[in-house]
Amino acid sequence: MDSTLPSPNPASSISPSTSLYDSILASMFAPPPTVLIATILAIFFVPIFIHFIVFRSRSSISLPTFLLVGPAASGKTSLMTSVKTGQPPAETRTSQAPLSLECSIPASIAGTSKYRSVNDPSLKAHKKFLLLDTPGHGKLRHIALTRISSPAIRGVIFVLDSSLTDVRAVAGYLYDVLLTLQNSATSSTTTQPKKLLVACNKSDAFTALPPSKIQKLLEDEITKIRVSRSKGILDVEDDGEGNDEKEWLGEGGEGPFTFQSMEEVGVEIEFKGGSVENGEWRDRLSPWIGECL
Amino acid sequence: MADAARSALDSFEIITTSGILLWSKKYASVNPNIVNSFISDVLIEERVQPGSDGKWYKKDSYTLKWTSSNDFGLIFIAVYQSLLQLTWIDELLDTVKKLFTTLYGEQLKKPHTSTIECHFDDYFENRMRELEKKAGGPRPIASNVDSRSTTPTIVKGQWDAPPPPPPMPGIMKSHSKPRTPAPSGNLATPATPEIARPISPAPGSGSHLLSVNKRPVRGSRGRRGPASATYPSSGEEVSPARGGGGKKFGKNTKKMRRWDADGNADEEDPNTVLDYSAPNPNSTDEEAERGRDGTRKVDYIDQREWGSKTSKGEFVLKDLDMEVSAILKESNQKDTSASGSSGGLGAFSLFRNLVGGKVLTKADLEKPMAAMLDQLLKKNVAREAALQVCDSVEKSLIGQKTGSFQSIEVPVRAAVEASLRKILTPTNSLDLLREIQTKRSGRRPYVISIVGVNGVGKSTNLSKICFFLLQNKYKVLVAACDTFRSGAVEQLRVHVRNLKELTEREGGVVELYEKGYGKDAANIAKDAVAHGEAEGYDVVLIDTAGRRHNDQRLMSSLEKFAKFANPDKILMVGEALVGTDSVLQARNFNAAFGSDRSLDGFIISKCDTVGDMIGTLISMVFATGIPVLFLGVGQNYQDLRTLNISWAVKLLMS
Repeated sequence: MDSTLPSPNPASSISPSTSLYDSILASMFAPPPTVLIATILAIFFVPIFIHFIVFRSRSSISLPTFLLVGPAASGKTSLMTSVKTGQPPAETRTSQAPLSLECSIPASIAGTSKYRSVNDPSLKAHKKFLLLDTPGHGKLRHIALTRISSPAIRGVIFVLDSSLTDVRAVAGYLYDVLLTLQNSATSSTTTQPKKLLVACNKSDAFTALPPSKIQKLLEDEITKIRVSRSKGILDVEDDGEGNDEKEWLGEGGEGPFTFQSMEEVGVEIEFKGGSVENGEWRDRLSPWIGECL
Repeated sequence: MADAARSALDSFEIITTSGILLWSKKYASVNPNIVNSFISDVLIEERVQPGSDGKWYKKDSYTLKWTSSNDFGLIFIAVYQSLLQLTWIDELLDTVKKLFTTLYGEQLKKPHTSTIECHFDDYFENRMRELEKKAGGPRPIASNVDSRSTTPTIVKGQWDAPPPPPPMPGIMKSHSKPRTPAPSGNLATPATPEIARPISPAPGSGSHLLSVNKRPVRGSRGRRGPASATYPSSGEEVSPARGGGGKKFGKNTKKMRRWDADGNADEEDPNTVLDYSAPNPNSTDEEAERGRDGTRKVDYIDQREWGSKTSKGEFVLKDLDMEVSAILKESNQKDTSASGSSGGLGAFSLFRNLVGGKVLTKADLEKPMAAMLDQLLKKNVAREAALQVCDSVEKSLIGQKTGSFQSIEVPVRAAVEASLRKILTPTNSLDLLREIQTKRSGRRPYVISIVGVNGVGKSTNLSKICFFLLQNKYKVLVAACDTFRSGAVEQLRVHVRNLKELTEREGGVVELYEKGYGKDAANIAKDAVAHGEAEGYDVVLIDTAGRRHNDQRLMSSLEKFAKFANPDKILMVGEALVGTDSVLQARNFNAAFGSDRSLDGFIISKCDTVGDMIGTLISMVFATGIPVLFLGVGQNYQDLRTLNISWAVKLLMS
């Protein structure tokens, strides 16, 4: 830059003995107006530009997400639409792809709000979150299982049909979900427990079982699955050493599995009953979701 | 709406891939399970019904046809009774797809939305009628021949005296209409298709006959009204309202009329003539009135009412119609221009390729798909399976947009990976131990039989499974049902002796059940199960003779075997080494057990000998939809593994 500049600076002309070094310095402190303007513009706009780049990509994933998992035909998509609108759900068919919807709950029931004053205006606002519905078909469950350990997931909602016609299938999927949750809880650095809500849907059906009964049946079934999986054949990639802990659900003991015991490995589980048809889930889920936020 | 209720279509649904029903039209109540099972069978599990060639799906008494729009993630499904031969469904799906995506594409692109505002009913009705009318000509021909009784022919004789008797009513109609300049003829013709359309083929043919009849109006007019009324009533599905007097008929014709107008506006089919008549219905009405002798009062009133109503109805409909045709034309143009320009604009498209954000077309995909096909073939996937995987991937990609700064290869690769993963993932859990636990009802042991081609390792893998079961403290009976190859029984005896020694300390109990050579395998198997039941065994493992899958004589004995032994699991052993033949092996064995029994799983042996060329996995599972239960990975008893899907996909794509 300095070579192109005529040096109007008197300092350099007065003392020629100080040589080139001085003239460079001098020209740097007396730039032509175009360079000056360009520099000022750059100083102002580069940070703004960087801000937009950073926060645009950031904002899209920063919304807390709740994952809906569960076997096919349990009512996941219906539950999602009914939570979104607070009304009986839209008609749905078998899902093949995940879908997320933006939902909101009143800020007053969010977990952080208990420290706020009653008159805090922020309580009147709404907390936004995403509900992410995943396909429940056996071939597509990996979509849900790979997303469980994502940091944006604040909680997992396992939806099942309260009639529980096929306990084995439901328990098998729940086992996989719990194992994935457990592994992500033990491997993560935070002590924040992972939260799972088992939503016993279709409670209005004639054959529906109460949530406590469902819990008992699932515990029995998972106990059996746990034993048979631990004795099962290793998979091809597995060298059979050192990952027993990753494969065993719950804390170390051999006894019957309980959902309570999952708390020790950082997974909190809650059971709730309700029906999509009556549009109840919005009210029933709100407290739990609020707690997780 | 009343006439819609009698449509040939039972329902039409537009759903998203995420399972939300965006819009639907129900003419009859269809159980949602029909659509659900279609989605899981065809779209998720990719099972093709025999003979359908992936074009339709039959369930209960319904036939489903569908089309999908990948860029918006939409599926359009038409459901109708299998009895009906509807030729226009494909066109309906296609045009509805174009209309819907053009009208509501903006709304569908928004993130985090599940519902859209749509008032699609009118557009849909419009297309429906259009197509039904168009199809009205060719469709009834068949039904006319077989289903219609003598009535039409009699009528023909009565009315068609002036012109030579028409060979086919449908053809006749199209010819006759343009020729008749008489306004009365014009007026009469619209009425006929209206009756024909909403009704299924049989009544439709009646209406066509009607149109022919009416053309020579000079005949006694009084009879026309009753004739039109009686025709439809002879068909099965006509509503009682239809059968009524002239007034009802008049209303019908009115609706019909506006449709004709629509048809004229955008289509170039024989019916266009009707269009031109539309612009001034009143004048034609008067003309007709004047032309007649005025003695038939009923007739006159009919026409009056019809005309005035037509003009009103038509006005409303014309807007919609023009809109629809404009949209369709536009999207057609877009299609052609897109296909045309793919070659040109070299520099620009190169730039787009680099930057991404490009809508994928068939031409774009050609190269990367060929590369993927090569890759799969290199991994020893059978050509047939590889081609079909690539086909389905290509279909799912066309119309999608690439991400920014992304080359085409990236989404193609991801899609192939997802497709392979989907193929290998089982629909149900494959926990054998758990299954033995739950399925053991009463004293009957859990029966596993193993089949396969010669020399693939049936006995070896049977002993491996046996070893695994013994370690889990089961009491196992091994039945030697290979009564054909010399040494087969002795071979098993050695295995059993070894296993006994290996597991004695751990408490496993294993015995061999043998009956020598030359006897009927099915009977031995049956006896073995009975013996196992009597002696309190937990599991019976049945070894069978190896057989070539295309030898009908040997394969046919498998059906009897399955019936006699009634195994809980039939496993087929396939070599990882086999190439193209794997598809046929799997298919033939799967079909060999009769119509109500199929294979339950594959054991792929000799996986340690092929390195990363594990394409046989894909070929066999793809051909049958049956999961891989175990992999054989070595010579020892403990060298049995379950399939790890990510491992397999990684090897196949590397």
